[in-house]
Amino acid sequence: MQGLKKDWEIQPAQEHHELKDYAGALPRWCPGCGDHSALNAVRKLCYEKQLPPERTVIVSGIGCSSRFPHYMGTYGFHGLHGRAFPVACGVKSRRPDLHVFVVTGDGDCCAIGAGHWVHALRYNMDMTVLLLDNNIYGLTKAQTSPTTRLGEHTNTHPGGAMIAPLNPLTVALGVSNVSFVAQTVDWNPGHVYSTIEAAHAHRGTSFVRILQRCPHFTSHVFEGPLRDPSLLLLMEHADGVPMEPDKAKRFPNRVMHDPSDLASARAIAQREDIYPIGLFYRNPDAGCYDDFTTRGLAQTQAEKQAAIRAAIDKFAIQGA
Amino acid sequence: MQANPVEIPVDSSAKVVHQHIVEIVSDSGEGAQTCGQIFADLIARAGHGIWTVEIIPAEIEPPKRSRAGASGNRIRIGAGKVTNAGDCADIVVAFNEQVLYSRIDSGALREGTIVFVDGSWLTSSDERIVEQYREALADFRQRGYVVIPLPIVEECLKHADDVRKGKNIWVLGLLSAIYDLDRAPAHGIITQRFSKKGEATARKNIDLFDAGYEWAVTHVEQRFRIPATPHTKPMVLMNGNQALALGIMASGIEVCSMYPITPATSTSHFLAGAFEQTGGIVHQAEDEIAAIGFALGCSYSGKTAVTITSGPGLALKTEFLGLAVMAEIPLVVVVVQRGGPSTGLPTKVEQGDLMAALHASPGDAPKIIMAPATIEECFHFMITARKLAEEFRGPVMVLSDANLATGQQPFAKPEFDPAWLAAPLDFSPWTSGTPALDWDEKTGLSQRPIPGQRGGEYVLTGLAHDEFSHVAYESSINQRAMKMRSRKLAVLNSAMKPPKVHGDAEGELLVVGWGSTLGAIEEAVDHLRTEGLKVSSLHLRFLSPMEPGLKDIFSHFNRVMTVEVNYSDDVGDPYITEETRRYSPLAQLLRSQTLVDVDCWSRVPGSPLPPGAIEKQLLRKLQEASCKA
Amino acid sequence: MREQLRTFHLSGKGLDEFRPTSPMRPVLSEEVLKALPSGESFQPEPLASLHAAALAAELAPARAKFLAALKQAVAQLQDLLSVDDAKRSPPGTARISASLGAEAQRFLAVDELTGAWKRPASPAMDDTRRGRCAASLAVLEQALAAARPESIIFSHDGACAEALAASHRQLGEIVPVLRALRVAALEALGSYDAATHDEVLARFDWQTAEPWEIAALPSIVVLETPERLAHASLTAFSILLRSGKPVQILVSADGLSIDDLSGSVTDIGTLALAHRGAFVLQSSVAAREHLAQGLGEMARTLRPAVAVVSVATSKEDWLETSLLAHSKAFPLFRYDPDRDGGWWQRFALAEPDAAFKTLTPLDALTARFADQFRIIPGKAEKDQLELHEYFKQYKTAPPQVIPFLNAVDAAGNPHRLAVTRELVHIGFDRLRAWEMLAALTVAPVETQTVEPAAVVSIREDAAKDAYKQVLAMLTDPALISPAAR
Repeated sequence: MQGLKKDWEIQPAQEHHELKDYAGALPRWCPGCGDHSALNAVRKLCYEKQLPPERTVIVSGIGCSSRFPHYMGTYGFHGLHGRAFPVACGVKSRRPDLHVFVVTGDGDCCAIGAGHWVHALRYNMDMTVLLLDNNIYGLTKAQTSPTTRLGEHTNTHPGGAMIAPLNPLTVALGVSNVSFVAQTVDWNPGHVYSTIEAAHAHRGTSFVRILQRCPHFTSHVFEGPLRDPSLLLLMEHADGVPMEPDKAKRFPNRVMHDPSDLASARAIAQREDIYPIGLFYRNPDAGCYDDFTTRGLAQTQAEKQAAIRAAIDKFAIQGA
Repeated sequence: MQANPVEIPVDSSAKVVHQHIVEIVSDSGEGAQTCGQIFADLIARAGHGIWTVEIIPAEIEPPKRSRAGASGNRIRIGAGKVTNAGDCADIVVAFNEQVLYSRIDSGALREGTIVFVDGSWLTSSDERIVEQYREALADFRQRGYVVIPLPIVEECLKHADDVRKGKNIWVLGLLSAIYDLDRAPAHGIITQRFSKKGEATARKNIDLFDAGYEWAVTHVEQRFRIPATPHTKPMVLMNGNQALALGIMASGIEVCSMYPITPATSTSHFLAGAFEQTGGIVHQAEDEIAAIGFALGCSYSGKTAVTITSGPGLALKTEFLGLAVMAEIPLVVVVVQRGGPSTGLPTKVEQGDLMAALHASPGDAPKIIMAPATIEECFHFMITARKLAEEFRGPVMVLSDANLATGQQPFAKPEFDPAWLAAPLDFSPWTSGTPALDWDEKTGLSQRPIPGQRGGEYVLTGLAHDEFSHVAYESSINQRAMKMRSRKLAVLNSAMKPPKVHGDAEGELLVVGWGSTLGAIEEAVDHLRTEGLKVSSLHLRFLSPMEPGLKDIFSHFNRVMTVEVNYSDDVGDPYITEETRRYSPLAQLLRSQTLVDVDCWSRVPGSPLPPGAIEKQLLRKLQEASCKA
Repeated sequence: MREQLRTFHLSGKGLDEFRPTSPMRPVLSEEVLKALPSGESFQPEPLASLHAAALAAELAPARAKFLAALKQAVAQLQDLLSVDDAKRSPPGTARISASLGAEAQRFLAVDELTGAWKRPASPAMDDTRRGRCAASLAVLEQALAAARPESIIFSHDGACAEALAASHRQLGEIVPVLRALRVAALEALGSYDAATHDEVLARFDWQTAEPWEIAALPSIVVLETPERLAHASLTAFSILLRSGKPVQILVSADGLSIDDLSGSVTDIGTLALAHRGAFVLQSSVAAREHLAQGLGEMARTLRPAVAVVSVATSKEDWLETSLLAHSKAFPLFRYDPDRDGGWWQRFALAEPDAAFKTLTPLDALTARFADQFRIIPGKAEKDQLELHEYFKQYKTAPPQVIPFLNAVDAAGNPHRLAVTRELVHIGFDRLRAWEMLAALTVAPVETQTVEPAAVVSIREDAAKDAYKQVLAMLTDPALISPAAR
């Protein structure tokens, strides 16, 4: 026998998970709600990658978007309005073996949760974030959200929203240490899946904004791009989110954009005349806070106990 | 090269006292606190009991020679154990006469207090300063203090170039001589403290110490000797925040999540360093809410975490606290209380957050609340807190305060027991069919699945839910769930021992307290008891659930009152009647719990209640009672 | 004189009075002298310590990783078993009391609590699983406590055979540890499936291990010399090279190992090459970068590895050692069997520096083989040829002239040295050996070579006759002579 040969690797038990293993309660979203698309994509991702349901955690805030965890058969944390990010970071902090997803909405993430959102991008812990953006507060019945378009009539601004909306993409791309920003649209399930797949594969906080139809309150908002793909700008690149060539052909407006080019990403993200979809930016080398939070996990009991005793001894009164 | 230290002859003229209070005050940055810390260390090593209080200026950069800028330490030395900061100081060393006024305003001095003042100001080139100095000293003498000016600057310049450094060590030498302390330990501590700055600096400081010592020997006639009891077992000396931190480490907690807030932050500073050795992390979050959110997430995925804050931070954390109760996730929340309301007095003690801790969350969110009364309890209670949090599935709040945080007291060195550590995470598969909140019908207690346990998948939610953590759509579920969460506190109460009464089990007056007032209350009570008065005290460690048997204990006393450091209306003030009077927080709780007409006396001076002041109030209460009788 | 010289050249005898008495040194150009590494800083460093340093540096990460893996596996199994302990025998009041901290007794009646607290909703491990975890833990704890020397050295007689046996043993002993590591990893995830994994682990052997796990083992090192290898240990050496086991062999070659002047040079390096499956480094302390690079690569390999290194044991030998390396007498090469492809991809031969190109393989040998040289008195004659030219003209047969070497004596006076035939043949042989090795480095070229028609026909004719003859003998046994039967 000459040298080492690679035998079949010892893998964890090939317990095969069915798609139904990832299903939780029956979704109670309205028919036609874009959240269904995100749910299907995440379930499919879990199935394709065979993520153990017991080691997958979906963390959400409050809102229609945040009902998401209940509809998955994994562990879930349906927490407080705007506070999904710190919880998700805490969940991941000492459990690097968990697959963590954050599902949030435009109010949950960009209004009350904005502070946590910015810092979570900076911490860049290994998790996938889905911002389900329907441009409105749906659950609480049609209040203006930070992403509501100028002039839209809502229950809190019946005369029409009067402040320019926040652009979550430019905000995200402006945060230091951000490592992954992408956008997709709920009515293109293939693209949604490819985007979430790329997001999950990236090590760091992968921020994905999904423009999502709300048939109940904002059915007109995304009517245009739904019918007319020329209102979308398809970002393409070998390193970007892949799309089959025959599907890509259906987009009249396409641009070759290198996801490692932050300046170009920002320029595209700023555009108000068109909805860019695809991968804006990816930086695999951005520092991950997980490297710090997992410190000491490998320490033995003996080492830990000796260190505790030593710490107490430092306060001993000599001569006692 | 060190000449042989001067042999101090045993001074038979030294006055033997059983306790003494020394204060060292200066402008901030002059090192009075360091002097106090080292002095406390020396006293403790010599076998005396001590209790220290930091004197902290209210601002970061207060003006020099101002009343508001006093910075330093009070050290109470005792023959036996010392449990509180005491009443008036016996000796005060002031680096300038203006900071002394802040101590006078606080009521820290009495007639006969020996006041050492830096006399160098008399020869200042600034006439205003000379004027202030002269006026002040005349005033001090008029008040009856024994005033002794010290030529600190002149003496220090003999050994150091920069007079701003070194005064505190010179004074340390002076005090060591007055209290007849052995020099060698002081030299050792000085060498160790200044080792980082080089051997020359350490040597210079030793010279300064010896200079102060020898000056006292030749120029100061006052000598005090306090009998020492050599320690029979190993002892440690630390402040409450350090004790909290060590307790956190010893309990096996690996994550401390915080946001900077006075006076809690020093615990996290200590942990941030110490955790490097024991494999934990301090997470500094972007705000108080994120801090508790992070801790809760960590607890959710298996390892109980701790978050540390003070009153204003608690206010922000209340929504998450409610979620922790609702979702039954273990969490340890430490609140180091400070002066309120609002931003209040960040560096000063108060016991103002009891009600907030109990109630400040939407709806009914019963949780366990503990309050350590000593620095030793700050250590041990963290272990109890973590264990109770895990077994009772919920948050446990530990209320400390600024007095415990910065004060120091020696106590028996904790012998680390591996049983204190959290158990390793259990990833074995969850028995199929068992609910995520498998409430025991009687106790409401349940085990919880953690991510990694196959078959245990559930979605935690703050919405009303059933035992499977499914959102509750039926009306009866809400009632049942609340019952279960409330029941757990009753179970803990049933496992508690009734509190011990300090003094006789029956009498005229019972004083109830909680937190850092323990020592002062007991000292006041003990003193009154020696005069034949029938007063006893009781100190609560658990505020929620309340400790059992109180109504019965109270029934053996004619009157019951609380003594606290927080606000209550005083009887006799305009508009204050039986109806309008607002009672102090513990009194309110006790009244509602026991239906006994519990009275209260409380103050918010921003400093610990002296035993003398408490004694005066108890006496007044007893006299009122005898008048009415 | 000419006769005498010729006699000397052909027989090695005669002209004894012209034997060089003081040490001679070949004439070296300015360029060469500048390019020669300085012998001033030369410290006769034992080859073993250079090699040990290379091993330590290359393998340190693997060793650290292995130690960390052991510790983590131990921690994981300890945790698993202690959680299981708590389920099997629920902790008593004393333990629960202790777990509440030292002050709890003052306030809490622990008996009441113990009664109220729930039992875990997941059952204890079954006995098989428990046994497996406990056994793996025992193995790992032992491995963690065991001493881990960096290398085990064999240098006496029979070293090769003993080293091979030691390697067998070492690999056999590590297999249970590696198995236990895998059990720990699977059990920590709760993913151990007896149906699949029992069988997989049963057939686990050292070859299924991760390379870094094998690299983390103490290195087994053999110290040899060409002389001993050539005679006493050759069989064991060959067996070792064919074994596939991770053993490192260091051969310190002091000068050119010329057995006797009949022409055989103990070429251990080329011999090792022929084993195809072993890593071979041939280098010299005079070629510092080459040696350092080679030792580093050798440290990384998990195959049997040989380093034949030309060493100088004293400062005086420094010049000879340098010239040996640069004159092609001692080729410097590296053969790495782990690289895919043909010889030209696996084999790298160092080209001597341009300055050294005119050196012959014999330039170095003037001191050691003084007896094979004679100073030629008088001026140049037609039937003498400088050695460099001589080798150039030596195609199928040696030129009929007297080969000489240009040399200088200690005083700096130039001389011509006549060389014996034996030594010349050895030199020629070294040159040929180098050229054959050089040919291995040439990538195959996709061209059609056209052979001369005459050569083709000779071969074909020969083939035809032999073919006919052998075929006849095969078909008619009667044709096979009785002697051959």
